[in-house]
Amino acid sequence: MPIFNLKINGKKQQIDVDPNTPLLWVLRDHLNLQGTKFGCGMAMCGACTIHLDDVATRSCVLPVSSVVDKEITTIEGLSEKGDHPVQKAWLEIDVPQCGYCQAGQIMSAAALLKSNPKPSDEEIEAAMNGNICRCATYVRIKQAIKTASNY
Amino acid sequence: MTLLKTSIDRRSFLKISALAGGGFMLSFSWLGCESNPKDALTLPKEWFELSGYLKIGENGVVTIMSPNPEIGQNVKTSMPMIVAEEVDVDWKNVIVEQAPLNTEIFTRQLAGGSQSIRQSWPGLRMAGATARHMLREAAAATWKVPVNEITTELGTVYHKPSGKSAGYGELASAAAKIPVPKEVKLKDVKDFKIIGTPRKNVDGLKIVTGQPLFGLDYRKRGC
Repeated sequence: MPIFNLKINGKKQQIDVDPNTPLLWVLRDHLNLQGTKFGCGMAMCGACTIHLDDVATRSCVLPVSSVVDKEITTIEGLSEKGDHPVQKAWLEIDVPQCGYCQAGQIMSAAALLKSNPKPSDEEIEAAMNGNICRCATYVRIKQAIKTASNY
Repeated sequence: MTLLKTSIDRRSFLKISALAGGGFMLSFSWLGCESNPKDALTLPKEWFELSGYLKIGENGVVTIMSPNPEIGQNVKTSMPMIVAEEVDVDWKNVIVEQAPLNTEIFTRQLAGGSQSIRQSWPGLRMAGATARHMLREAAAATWKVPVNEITTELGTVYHKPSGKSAGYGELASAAAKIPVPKEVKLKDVKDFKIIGTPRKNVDGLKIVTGQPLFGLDYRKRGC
């Protein structure tokens, strides 16, 4: 199998896997970065959201061969101490219930605020539309994004 | 950490529950079964094993085990809140741990039917109140004063007439030697400081930093 050179959370990684292996599997099973979750496996739910060159991207359908030389950031790499503005806002508003989707939610929210530091309600809804939460924490998610945008 | 090992027999539990005001016991039903005091006889034994969910460290930190699975209903936060209320400890000095599956100590370690709080309410309160009672007894014995003159507030035991006070941590090992009371008095609802107030998800930081918490994250040793 070919060897892929990846850059994940600022660190270079060499991975020897099939080219079609989804990045999510590489993260979770090969690199033990378990913060990114498997939800649907079809890029429909957002649980597996990571940043690919600062853009929120679903990692469950992303072949590892397509992400070589790109900057990959996972929830573990978003901040060193859990103090990214979005993480701080998430704690302040007490967003999570079960928490399963929240890494994906936070990564989508962080990407949104990076490209649009003061999003409107409509812009938040549009950006977060692909991240599903079974506990229905949507109201607090929106509130936390607004809180983060005001830090 | 000093572990308070004790247990309360079924008779005690029934008495305590009666003291708590029949209301709690009567409203205590099994998945909508008809409520009547006889239901008490079917109460799970889990709640009698105090060591199953509470320990007090010498530094006064109280570790409370949360017995039921957390699936987003926030019982990992709310169930220990009930214990902490009756122990009378500052919530910021509480550490919550997820109890392992243990069919010897616990029963009904499941989530379903919106029953976690309803089923466990008297048991959790009794566990906390028993610990508090034993701490008061320990203080009374140490200071040689009547136990009914001993009060508590947020992790400290007071004997107001003599001006003495001690933290729970200082009394924990003495309290562990106190016989388990036959009866304990529960707090009046009007005195609640934790129950009924919003408290943040105890796993919040773990969740927002992506630490492994879920079944999917479980790794068999060696894999």
